[in-house]
Amino acid sequence: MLVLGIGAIGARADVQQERPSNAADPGKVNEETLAPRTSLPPPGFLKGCLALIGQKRYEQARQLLAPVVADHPGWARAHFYLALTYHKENRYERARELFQRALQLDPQEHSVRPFYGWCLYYLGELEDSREMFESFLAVKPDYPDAIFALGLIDFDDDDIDSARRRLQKAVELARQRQDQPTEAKARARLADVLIRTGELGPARDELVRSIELNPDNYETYFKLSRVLERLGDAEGAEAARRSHHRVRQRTRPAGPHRPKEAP
Amino acid sequence: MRPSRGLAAAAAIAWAWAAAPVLSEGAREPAALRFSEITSSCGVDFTMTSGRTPSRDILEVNGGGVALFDFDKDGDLDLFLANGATMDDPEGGPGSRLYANGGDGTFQDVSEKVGVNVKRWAMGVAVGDYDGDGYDDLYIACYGPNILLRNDVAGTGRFVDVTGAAGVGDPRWGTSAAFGDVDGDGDQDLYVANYLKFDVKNPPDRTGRMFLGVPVMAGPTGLVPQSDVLYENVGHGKFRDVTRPSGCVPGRPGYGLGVTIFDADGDGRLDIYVGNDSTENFMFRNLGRGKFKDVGTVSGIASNYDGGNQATMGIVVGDVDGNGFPDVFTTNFSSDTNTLHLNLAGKWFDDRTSQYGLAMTSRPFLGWGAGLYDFDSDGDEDLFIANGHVYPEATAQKMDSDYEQPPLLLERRAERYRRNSEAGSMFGTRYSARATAFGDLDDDGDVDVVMTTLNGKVRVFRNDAPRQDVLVVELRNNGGSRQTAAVVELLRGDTVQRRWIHGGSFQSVDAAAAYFGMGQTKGGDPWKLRVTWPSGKSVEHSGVGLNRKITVTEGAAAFETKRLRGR
Repeated sequence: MLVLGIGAIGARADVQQERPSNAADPGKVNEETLAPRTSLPPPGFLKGCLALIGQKRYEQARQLLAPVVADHPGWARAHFYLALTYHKENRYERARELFQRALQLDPQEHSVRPFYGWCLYYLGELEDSREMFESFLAVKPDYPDAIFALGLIDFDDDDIDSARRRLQKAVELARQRQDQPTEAKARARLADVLIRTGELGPARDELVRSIELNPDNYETYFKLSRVLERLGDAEGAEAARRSHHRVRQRTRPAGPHRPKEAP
Repeated sequence: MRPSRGLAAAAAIAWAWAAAPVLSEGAREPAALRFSEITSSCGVDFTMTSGRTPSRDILEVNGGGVALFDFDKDGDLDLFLANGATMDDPEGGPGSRLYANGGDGTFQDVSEKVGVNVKRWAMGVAVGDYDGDGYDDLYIACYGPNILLRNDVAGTGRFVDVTGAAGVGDPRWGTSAAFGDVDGDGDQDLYVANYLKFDVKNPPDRTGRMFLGVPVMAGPTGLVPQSDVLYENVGHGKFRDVTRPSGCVPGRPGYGLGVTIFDADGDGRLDIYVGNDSTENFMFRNLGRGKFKDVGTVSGIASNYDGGNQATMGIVVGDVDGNGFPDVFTTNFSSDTNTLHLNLAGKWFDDRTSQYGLAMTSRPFLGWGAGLYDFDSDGDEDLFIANGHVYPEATAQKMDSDYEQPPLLLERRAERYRRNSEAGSMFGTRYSARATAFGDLDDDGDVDVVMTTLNGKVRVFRNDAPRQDVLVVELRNNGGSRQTAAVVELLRGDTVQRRWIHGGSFQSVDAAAAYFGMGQTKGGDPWKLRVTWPSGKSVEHSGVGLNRKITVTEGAAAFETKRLRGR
């Protein structure tokens, strides 16, 4: 599933947005280049593409979207969805161009921002990523995944206090929304903060809760094994390691240098 | 401070240099990193060979290693290049090369003159005096039987192939090797990291091998890993395979790419760290009496913070957090991060890559050789990382990572590393870089860089940073040859600079020397020097003078000193 899925893309996935927007920044986009070259695809086209993306049928969605983007260079949402097909395959450089273009065409298309933020994060461009998440939160201040992302950026910046605050907030907001995947990953990363500060007992508790919420996240078992080892629970650590291998085998078969699924 | 090793320290020996300059008190210019490429002018005009361009099979992507060592004992660093061959003729490549240093950082190819005649597809190199004659020998890890060249320069004037007599001609694909006295009996044992089973006549099928949606070459995952070998030096020029009886047998096989030998837990015994590609890394903790136990997984160094098995090409050892224990930095694949494992008092390793600013910024790069050295002589250690992708299909568009990439220079600023792209044109130039070796080629007290490229020129980068006060400490064992797996500390009051002499990074060998810059220190008490040998014994010297190269020999009461060039 899309961790930031259709819900994040929000209410703008409506009939109106099935049509190109005229909201492009005229200072940045040459109107002439935005003129459609063919007639619009039928109503429901974008919803269909989004459904394909939700089903991880990225190539299929791309084959539908790419010619439409070429023929309708002013259609922000089509660019956005085409970007998603790359983003979800961890092809961030290609996705970046399309996200950027989508935002350029329609700066009010805020749903782009968190995806673009993650894209920039995985390209290692943390300041631009931070800016993108912050601009999204300015519109949607209680979105847990964006707060979670800022927590990770703080962690990478070694701003541990801020990382802790943000990850705790992401946990709380996700809990309120009953968004278990986000709560699980926020707790797992909060545990990283606690490990950093030497609070191994609380880190263990966060990891255990994270596993309860999302038993398919093999990485959490590994972290738990590390914490239990350091707490002197060798038996528990070994059990966690076995779970890590078992869940990893089940959810992510071995592959050469295979990146993780994009958020 | 470094923890007690539980062994009696050797008596401290006072040593003063009346003529040595004292640490200057005045203000200094801020340190600045600066390198210049001197490849064409230094005499190293050599193009490495590693199969085809573009590479089609995994055998072709590693390239060859580099060693900096003083083979002729004339006081400067000579250069060995482990060169590859071709898929058509892996036994008959253009040959590895040995260059002699003229003493000023210029080199002359002496391969034929001294009998270095290695045509086999060579990759890794290890340097050690296996026969205790005072001259450093060469062990070359190859695709095909590895080769031991005994340095008989003092006798016949040549290197002699003694592989068969020594019993170290492992015929499998060796990538890296390291010498070290792991059983504490006074001679150099040998660990060889092997990669995987590969037949040039029947290379693995590429069908279905994808990376980020792009068809790529096969491996390593899906190919058969080859186990490593620990050879015990049994004297009289012979080794024996003690892999199994020693316990150097991991629970899971690995695709070995790198090995380094150092005392990871401060118990006075040398441990063995093996970097494996796409599989868990090994940490063979030395239990004494020739026995080892793999604690890689339990200690936390087998994988990164979330249990990911990384590519682990380059390995660097140093005390990044200053807690007295050796930390381990490794270079990894693109769309992954390089990794810094901090050593938490010898028992645990913790992935703290992000804490030091080394994580997300490394994702576009595929790292190989690396070095942790004080390049600007300001008192802390910076990082140099050679980069280049293995897949010729790589572009930023397709794989978020280009095939050719600039090396990274990461400057240590307080508790973070910051990329410095202004320190020379090479940091804005893209290469298919692979191995690196670090050392003071021109004897001026700062650390220069040799970097190989895949099927491309060997690059030599001279360190041209503004002069700061420095101290270079070269180590020799009691036989008079190079000494690694030791720790050198420069102490004054509560401050300490600490250097781990650990061999080298990916397939390569750095100079066996500690480089100290004095940029952050002004005035105060005199410095003391402490060397802790692999045996756990240590020696201290006080009254250390600056801008000197000091050669400390294990067991010797006094040591040599000479003024560095131009200082």
